[in-house]
Amino acid sequence: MLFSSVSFLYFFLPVVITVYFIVPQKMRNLFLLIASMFFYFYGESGYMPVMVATILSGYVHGLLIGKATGPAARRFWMISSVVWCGAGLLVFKYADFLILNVNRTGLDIPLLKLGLPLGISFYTFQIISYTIDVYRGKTLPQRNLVDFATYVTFFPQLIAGPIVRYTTIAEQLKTRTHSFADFSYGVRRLVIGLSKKILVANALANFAVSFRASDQKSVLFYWLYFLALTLQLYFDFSAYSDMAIGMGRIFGFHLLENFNYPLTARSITEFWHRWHISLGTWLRDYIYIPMGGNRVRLPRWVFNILIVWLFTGLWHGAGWNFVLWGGYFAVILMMEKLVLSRLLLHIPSALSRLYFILLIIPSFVFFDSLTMSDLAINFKAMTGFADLPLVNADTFYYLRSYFVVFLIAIVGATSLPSLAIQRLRDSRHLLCIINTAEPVCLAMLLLSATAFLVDGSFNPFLYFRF
Amino acid sequence: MSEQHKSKIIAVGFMVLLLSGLMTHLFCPKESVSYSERRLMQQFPPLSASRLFSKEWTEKFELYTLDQFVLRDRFRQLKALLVFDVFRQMDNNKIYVIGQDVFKLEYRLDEESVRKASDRIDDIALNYFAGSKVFYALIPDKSMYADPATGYPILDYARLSGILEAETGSAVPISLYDELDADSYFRTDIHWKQEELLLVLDKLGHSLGFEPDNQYTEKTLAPFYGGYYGQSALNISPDELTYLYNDAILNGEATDRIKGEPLKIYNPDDFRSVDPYNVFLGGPVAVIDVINPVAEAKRELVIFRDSYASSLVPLMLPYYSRITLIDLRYVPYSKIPEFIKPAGQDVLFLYSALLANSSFLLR
Repeated sequence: MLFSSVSFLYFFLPVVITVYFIVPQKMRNLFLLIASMFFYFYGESGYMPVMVATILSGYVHGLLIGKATGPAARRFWMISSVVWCGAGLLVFKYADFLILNVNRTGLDIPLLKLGLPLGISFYTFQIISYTIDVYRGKTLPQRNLVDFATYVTFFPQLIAGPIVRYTTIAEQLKTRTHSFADFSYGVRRLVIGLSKKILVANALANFAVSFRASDQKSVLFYWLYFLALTLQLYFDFSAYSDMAIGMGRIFGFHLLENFNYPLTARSITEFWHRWHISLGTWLRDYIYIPMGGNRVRLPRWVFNILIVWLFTGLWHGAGWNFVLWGGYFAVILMMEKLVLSRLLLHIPSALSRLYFILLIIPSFVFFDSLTMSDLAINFKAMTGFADLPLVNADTFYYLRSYFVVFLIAIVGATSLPSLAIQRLRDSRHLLCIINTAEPVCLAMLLLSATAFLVDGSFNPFLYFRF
Repeated sequence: MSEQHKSKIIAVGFMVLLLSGLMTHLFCPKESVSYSERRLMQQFPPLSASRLFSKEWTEKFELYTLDQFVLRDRFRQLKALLVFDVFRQMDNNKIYVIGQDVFKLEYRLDEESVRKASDRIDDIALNYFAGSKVFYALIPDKSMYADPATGYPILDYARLSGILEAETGSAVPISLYDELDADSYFRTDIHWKQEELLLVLDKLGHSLGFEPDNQYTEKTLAPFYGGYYGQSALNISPDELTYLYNDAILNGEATDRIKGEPLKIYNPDDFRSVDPYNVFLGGPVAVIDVINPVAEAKRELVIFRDSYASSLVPLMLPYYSRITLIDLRYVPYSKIPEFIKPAGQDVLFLYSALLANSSFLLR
């Protein structure tokens, strides 16, 4: 079930919210668990047992780590948990990638052709973080299976994040408060996220479809395509996080922010502190720092960076293009750390932003190119070496047609709109107008998003299959 | 308004909107047909233990929630207004509007498809009509007459017809481009207007060997909401549908060859159906025989056609004793001998340029 669907917005969500606030407080986690299981089952009935088994594994391992006497036993159960979760991810997400590459040596191992269970990359990372945090003593094991399962399966973040750490919501599982202020904040984030996805991300996706279908490409058309892809990924993914955070707040959970205007960064380093924050911090805390982080000698540090970015790339997809995508960032990050960081601090911000844009857009060429051949074609086309015109009639048509969409997306990717609204709210005279206009604007956005939904059909989030 | 009041209004308003959507979905009567979209609307998919939450069931359920959403046409209209007026996009679902004229964005030339269309014409001409005079005529899409200054890409008609002419060896081309213009087509529909086809009739007559006298009485039905009207989802002013008749046309007898049922040359009752264009020869029928019992000459014509021919054939009826229409989108061409015995009939392939560009539709 997708958030951006009529079945979710007008069937599932109103029923779940209504029943949630009717049931007694002590039953609310159980109800959320049932609702989340239904949500998952609706979209992925076949692989439900995989998720259930992974949840049970995390729960049992947490208890075993808690009960274990001695560091060796605790470490054993922690590693067991990581292996169990990792094995599931390996089999369903990476097995065929590994087999394909082994078969290049001349073997003929049959592919498993297993579908990718929805959200497996998210919930396995959540469970791994939980068991490691129990091992590290950062949290006590959760003895209540319902509460633990609710944490893992909580439907707002189940299939596309953010990756929620158990430690951030452990208390909220036990006790949480509800208020109109929280509820309305949640509605605001939800509606804004829905609008970002349906009104902006989907429009950019349509541009991308038109590009792929065109047999009259140009250099400019390629650049516009990858700009659209960059913006689409941002709006799509951050919209999902907005919706997750919003719905979480409606139910009394305070989830951490996952995006902080990443496309306004002035370096790749800064970008990765703003983009998919929950993944970046997860990799930092559970892979990079345990490997020694940057408190090691230079060769080891380089190795650590390469491993983390290999993981980052592969997390996004089982393909060499994703490995290269991770490697691309690893190289740039090392260069920024060793050589460029001071320079970037001292040059005008317009130049540093240009530097960033010229690096980030090509990065998504790796992301989008499923084969090495596609990668070569795309880079050749973007750099003018593919015997394409600079512009042509098709490019002009689509640029003209999507100009306002691009403008809205570019401005919307910055903090300018929220700063402008905040400035208006800071004015006592205008605060009353803003407070009156806000419900109206939210209603208009919801109805506009509904209009697009009703007119369209299947409407998947990009990170759906991670 | 205080923050507290605002929070309450947002929270309550949000739930009211969602619950209203749910309640109206549950309790409002369901639509079986969409007249604006000319299709059946998805009903609630049958439930069973085995089907529940199967991929097929959930897909149908998702479609059901969209198709049966209350005020669906109004929401589609809102979306169209947002796309054109707020986002300033050039088209909405590949539909665009210039003034009060609605067009569809179809401009990618599929040369392979055009060659296949040509091969099909040659195959039929050589295998079934070796001794006949065989012609083909390509009907330009209305977008080809739109003002190019508006910046909409259009199908390269010259290139398409050039490929067809170069590749088709067994049929004589009849160009209709100069016999039509922007006013020859309905504003809200893909089709041409019958009353604007007199020059086309003259051109065909010149090639096929008849001389139209063009004496008709007009009958007009209104309002005509063409196929593009619903697709545009905008408040475009409707067309009028005019049909022409004279004694020969009124005396004509049409038969659906596959069902064995009579058809009317013009059926005004169909004007209130899902597709008002079905007024002409009952709409999409695979094989039709149209007889002119008072024809002076015993000439026969076979037309391989799409929907455009439905409004042209009545005008040709006075000059033939029999016209057989075959729609190869519904009948595989291997079945032609079941309907036609070659006996020196004139043969005309009359296809829109868009169909030639999508010849996979021909069976």
